Amino acid sequence: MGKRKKDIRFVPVQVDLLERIIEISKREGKPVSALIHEALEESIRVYEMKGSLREMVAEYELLKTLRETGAVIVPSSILYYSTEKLYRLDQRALLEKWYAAGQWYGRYLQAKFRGDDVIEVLRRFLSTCAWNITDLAVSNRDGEVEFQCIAPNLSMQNTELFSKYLEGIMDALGYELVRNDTIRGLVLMGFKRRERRGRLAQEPP
Amino acid sequence: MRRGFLAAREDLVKKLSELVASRHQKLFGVVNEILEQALRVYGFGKSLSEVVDEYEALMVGRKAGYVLVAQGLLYPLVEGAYLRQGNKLEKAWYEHGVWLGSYLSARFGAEDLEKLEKVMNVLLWEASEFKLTKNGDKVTLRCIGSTIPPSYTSLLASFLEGVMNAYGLTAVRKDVSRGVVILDLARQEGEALEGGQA
Repeated sequence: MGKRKKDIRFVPVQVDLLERIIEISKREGKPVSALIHEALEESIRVYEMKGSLREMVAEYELLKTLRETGAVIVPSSILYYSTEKLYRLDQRALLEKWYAAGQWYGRYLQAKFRGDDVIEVLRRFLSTCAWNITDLAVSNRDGEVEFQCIAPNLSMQNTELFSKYLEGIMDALGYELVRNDTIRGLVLMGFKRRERRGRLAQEPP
Repeated sequence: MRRGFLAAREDLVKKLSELVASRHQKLFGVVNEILEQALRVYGFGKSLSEVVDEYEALMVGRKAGYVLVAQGLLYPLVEGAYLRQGNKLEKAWYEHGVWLGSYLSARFGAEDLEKLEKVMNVLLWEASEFKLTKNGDKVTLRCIGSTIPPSYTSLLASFLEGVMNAYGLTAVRKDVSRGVVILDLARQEGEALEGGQA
């Protein structure tokens, strides 16, 4: 049943946004009203589920980026079962693999988010995509970066693997490890920006 | 900034106004933000409803204890563990499938295979296709991912069998090869299937 005129309300909006919606409606071959109603319906759903459409879209975008890097969604219990079995057999090789994977990811972040504050990008990635971390704090002052990641479900072996992965990321971003107080389920690491020797040599005294 | 007006259904505006007021925000600002985000999402080549559905499925995964890990780490790891303890791992994956299926059927309804298909399409994003096709009392599950190695495919097959068992469906025929899982499923005795195409 169609809506009567009195069931319609007029809502003020910025004209430029409305114009862009009209362009999309032409491109998609959908009525403007259908696009607007879909946007309002879905945002009400998000408001009830998450709280902010902006935050949800930002998180979705990060998860989409991670998907592009070849990440897989896997039950944590299954992953941890496999890592713990292999950790006992070949700890060194496993730690090296995690470190190398972290380095690759760090380089990817640097390339993808060139010009952005990459430590802030990493913080957003960890808080959005590291689903095993329940609490995350990252401080970045004067070239020194501190991480505090709380992941109570991680075993000692998986905590060590995660910290190695983080160390690999930070190495690729140009930071060296200066402090590691990681214990089971709690990653406490400090990094310092490496001095760029080539550049320093060229700088005046 | 020029202002215009958009015509919207009263029930939606009323509902939105209530939510906005409860957060001490202004309707003008919130509606502008909604349009901005809808435009951003169109830039991904998707509609807002598709993105919200996918996000909801991802959050189901997060709440169900899933994590994201690089394929390059996971596949060799699983391969190594599978060579040593294949049967144990298959059992663990099957059991996890039963658990997830029970969780999803409790959350979305045991008859809602369409929702199950949507959620699995997101959680199994490494697969290029995940499809459930109903044919009377029977259901065919197809999961295809060209990059999935053989050991991971076997575990995935066990996992998917577990998920479908929780929905009251048992595999009567399995076709599992590298990157391909096809399960023909039939309703377990005493269970009735409603509806048509998933």
